[in-house]
Amino acid sequence: MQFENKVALVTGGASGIGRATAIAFAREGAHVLVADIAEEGGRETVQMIADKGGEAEFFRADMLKHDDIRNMVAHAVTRFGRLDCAFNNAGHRGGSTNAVDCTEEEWDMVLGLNLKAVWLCMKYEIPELLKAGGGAIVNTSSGLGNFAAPLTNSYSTSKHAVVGLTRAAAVDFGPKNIRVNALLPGATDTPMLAPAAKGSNLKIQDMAQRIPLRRLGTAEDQAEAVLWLCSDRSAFVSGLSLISDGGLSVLR
Amino acid sequence: MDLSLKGKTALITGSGRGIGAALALGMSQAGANIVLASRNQTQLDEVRTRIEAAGGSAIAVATDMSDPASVKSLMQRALDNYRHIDILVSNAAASSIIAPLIDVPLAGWRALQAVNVEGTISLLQAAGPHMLKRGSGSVIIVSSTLGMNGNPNSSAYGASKAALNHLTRTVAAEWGPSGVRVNGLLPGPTATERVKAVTDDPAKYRAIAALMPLGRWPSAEDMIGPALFLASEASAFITGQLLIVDGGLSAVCREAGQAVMAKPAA
Repeated sequence: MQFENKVALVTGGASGIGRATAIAFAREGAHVLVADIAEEGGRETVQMIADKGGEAEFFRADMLKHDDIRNMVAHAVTRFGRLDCAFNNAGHRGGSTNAVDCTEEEWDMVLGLNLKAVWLCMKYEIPELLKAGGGAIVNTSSGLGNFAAPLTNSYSTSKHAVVGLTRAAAVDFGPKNIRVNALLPGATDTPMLAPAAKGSNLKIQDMAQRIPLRRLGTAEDQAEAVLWLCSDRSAFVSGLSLISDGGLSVLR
Repeated sequence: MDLSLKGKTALITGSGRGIGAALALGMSQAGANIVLASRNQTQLDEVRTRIEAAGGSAIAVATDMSDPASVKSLMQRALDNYRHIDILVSNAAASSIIAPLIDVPLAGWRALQAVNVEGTISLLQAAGPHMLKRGSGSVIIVSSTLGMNGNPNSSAYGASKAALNHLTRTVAAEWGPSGVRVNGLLPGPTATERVKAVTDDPAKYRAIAALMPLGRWPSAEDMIGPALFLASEASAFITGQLLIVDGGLSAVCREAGQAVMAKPAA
């Protein structure tokens, strides 16, 4: 087991990639704090982990609230004694808007959740990782952190910014043995995908046929990549934008 | 996270020393049968002996990557011995020309491209039909961050690696529908035998280590984990990617930082 006696924090752990990653961390022996605003889903994730004999706890946190984020990190350390890995993954897909239609409310919400919250997570996680002698952070960006798609004004902007935030933290804290990488998932079969497909007028199966590997990603595919980025098998990998999209973005 | 390669066969070129030898030993430890290839049979036999001593299985095939017939016969030997190729690692590379472009001899440029670029093409053409027919597998093209950045004196080597990066992305698009993934592995400066003169000099070692946010030179062994990730099912949805393993070097432009962010003189 790669993460025995390690403590991992997963935000957005109530569904999708966050849930799959929390489950994968626990399967590999980690103690996991599952954070989300969605209580029911979050508690379900914890139950799924417990059913397999894993160790996890739910923490309700609103990523738009600074205090919630500070308390979440503090709780992980109080509950499990330390922090070794963090997957800053909670996010929102935003509205299907362009630069003219996007409202200030949408902008503030999407940038608040997808960008500012990731920074605040790191602001409180990094001091705890330093106390543990080092650690690894993975931030969820998106394929849309590397290019834009129609009507993704706020989302694409926020996910591009996560790449910059990730690199800056990698550069600043690499010398202190903290690795920071971004995961850029492409079309992945999660609850977030269905409304996204509606926004682009593209049926999900048509989307799969455009991907070189001819399928959508699964939450479990993405979880494997996160675990590798948090493990000692990627000990010299930092500041990386890891695109996991079945090859779609090479076709541009 | 399952990085196991149990029951798989990996063919690795340039595996007599350096990163290629490390990947061969690492993939063998992960359970794969190994086909070793380079020009130097003596070095290959040493690596094969180490693999066998650790309980693994390997064959060593002397190969000239600049000769398509030699590459073809390598593939035949591999298939005769292990029946399948699941993992193909194109790692053999010449790095003989370190000079400003004005001084690069055209004949030397061509000889370098013949190994690095055409050798990889020969390998992909020799293995492709088998892998596509099999409908699965992972190709790893070992490139370099010098294929992305414009460092002085690296035009010949850098251009060859840039060509490989493009090849990686194109072949990923061509082979993806058949279930074969193709990714690049891009080490930054790595402490192998080839750069021993630099890494043995403490001042030079420190100067370059300081450029990398993680603050040290990686060893060839640091490339094993990333290669196992790309070779295994852990990266099942990843193709066409250039996986940079450089301790954060390419995330930072120190010169720009110093110019833009320098504190004003007191």
